[in-house]
Amino acid sequence: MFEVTGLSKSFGGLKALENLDISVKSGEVMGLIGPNGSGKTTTINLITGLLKADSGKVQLDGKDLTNKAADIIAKLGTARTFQNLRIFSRQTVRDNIRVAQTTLCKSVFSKFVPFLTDEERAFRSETDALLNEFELSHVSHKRAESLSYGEKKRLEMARALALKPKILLLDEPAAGMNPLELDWLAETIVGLKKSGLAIILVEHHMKLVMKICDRITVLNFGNKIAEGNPKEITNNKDVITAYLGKDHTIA
Amino acid sequence: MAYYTALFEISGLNILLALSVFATLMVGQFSLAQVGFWSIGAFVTAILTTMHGMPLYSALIISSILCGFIGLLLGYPCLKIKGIYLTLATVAFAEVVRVFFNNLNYQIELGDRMIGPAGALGFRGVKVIAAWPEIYLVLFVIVLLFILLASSRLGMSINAVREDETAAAAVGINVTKIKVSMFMFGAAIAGAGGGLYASYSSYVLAENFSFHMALVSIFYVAVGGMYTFSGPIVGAVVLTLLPEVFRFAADYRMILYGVVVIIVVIVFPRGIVDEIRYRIEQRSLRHDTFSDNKTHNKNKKLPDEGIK
Ligand SMILES: Nc1ncnc2c1ncn2[C@@H]1O[C@H](COP(=O)(O)OP(=O)(O)O)[C@@H](O)[C@H]1O
Ligand SMILES: [Mg+2]
Repeated sequence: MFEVTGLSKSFGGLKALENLDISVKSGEVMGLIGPNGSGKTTTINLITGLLKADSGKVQLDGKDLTNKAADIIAKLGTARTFQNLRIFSRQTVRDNIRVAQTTLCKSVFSKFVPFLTDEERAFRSETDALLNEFELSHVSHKRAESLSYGEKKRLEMARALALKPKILLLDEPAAGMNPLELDWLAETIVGLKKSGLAIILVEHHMKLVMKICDRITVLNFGNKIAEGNPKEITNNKDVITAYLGKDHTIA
Repeated sequence: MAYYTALFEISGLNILLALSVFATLMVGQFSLAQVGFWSIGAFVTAILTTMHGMPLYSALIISSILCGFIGLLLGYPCLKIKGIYLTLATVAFAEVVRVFFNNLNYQIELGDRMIGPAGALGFRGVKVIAAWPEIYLVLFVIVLLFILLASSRLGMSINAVREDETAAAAVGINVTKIKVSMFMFGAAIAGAGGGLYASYSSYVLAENFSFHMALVSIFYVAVGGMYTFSGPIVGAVVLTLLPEVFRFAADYRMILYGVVVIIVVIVFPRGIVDEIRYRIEQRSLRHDTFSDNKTHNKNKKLPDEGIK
């Protein structure tokens, strides 16, 4: 169980997030939507320790993650992708995944002389499985910078999963994807959810959100204005106002 | 023959200096403090071997450890400052070290004369117990460590920190720990290098470890390349031999040296090693594109964005 309670953050005078509560169970996809600048990325940055919260709590399976260092939070089972791709572009695709496994090393030797340890063999088959699942096997030896945009996005997701997280936070994974890639994304997220992962999905692509989310939280100007299942959200008056403005008329 | 041996030895020492600069650059930190550590290593090793009769390798290990420890004390607060300010802080450190040794008077009677650091006059008569075998043995050990780093998970983590600290932290890498460790590693290399230098040259003068030397140490890496450790090695060798090639130009040779450095930096903007590697890679990528039309390299970012 992943729980956020009363999370708040201001930048100077700007209240980017106010008193946010979210909870996600394992095997559940929580959509986090809202207009641009409503605080979605800020929420992810607060959870993953890139930003320090002014107040509030973040807990994962009873463990406190609030305002811990980003690397500790990652080690405790939280993985993310970034709205603006952040891959290690000069490393190979395979090494991008391998580097994320390093925190899982049990033996110190794995860090210095990986080729000598048994642990490494297990890591290798996990890397192969991830490369396969994210359709990156054919480019595994290439530098990450030479990949296409879609491949880079898949690599970033694969790298996040290499951490074996309990909760995965995706910041606009569908941005820039073509319809074929979108279908693949939906299928993959549903697969991850079925394997027991808790997922928070920040996304503007409403069709995707409505299709795969179990519940949806809507933000506007840093405040939660609605929460519910896709159907409830689609029919919520406040949500429609936030997205389309007060004066719209439904055609 | 002695001339070529001396060139070989000085190249080895300069490679050590270049590698010590490179170690901190591996995590994207641009430090001019290496000269300070080099100076500490030189004086400490000279004092231990000459005044206290310690064997060379014990003295080198103590100098390394001491410099590594000072590197920890300097590196930790320095992490809070970035870019040009970090560089300035490291310059300040090297200056403090220079002034300290310039004023250090610590002599003991040995045989019929006083020996030890004598302030601005420096430390004369250091025991000469290092030549090319000692220099290259130490260099061999350090290169071995770099090779080990390059093939290990630790090395991957170091690269990740260099490329993107935020993403590195998000995959569970302790960025602070890696940066401080590499700062310490660089300091320790300089400590051993300085110690070898003292035991090679017999005379240690604080004024020699100046801002000029710090600049030259950066040249080594800039000219050779800063992505793999072979870059600084090539850079140090090229820039050590260059002034010798221009010996015929007498007083003008440093001008020629400067001109050649500028030309090299223009022709090889990524450094000699990285530029050649990059060109080869580009060629093979182009080849890929012709053979199957799937790869698009049009928007390729250049691999090296230089010093951050
Ligand atoms: N590091 C920061 N410093 C100052 N303001 C920020 C910072 N990050 C986000 N903001 C502001 O906080 C608000 C929420 O931004 P963000 O969380 O990125 O929105 P989005 O919902 O589009 O992801 C915006 O007004 C943005 O300008
Ligand atoms: Mg955003």
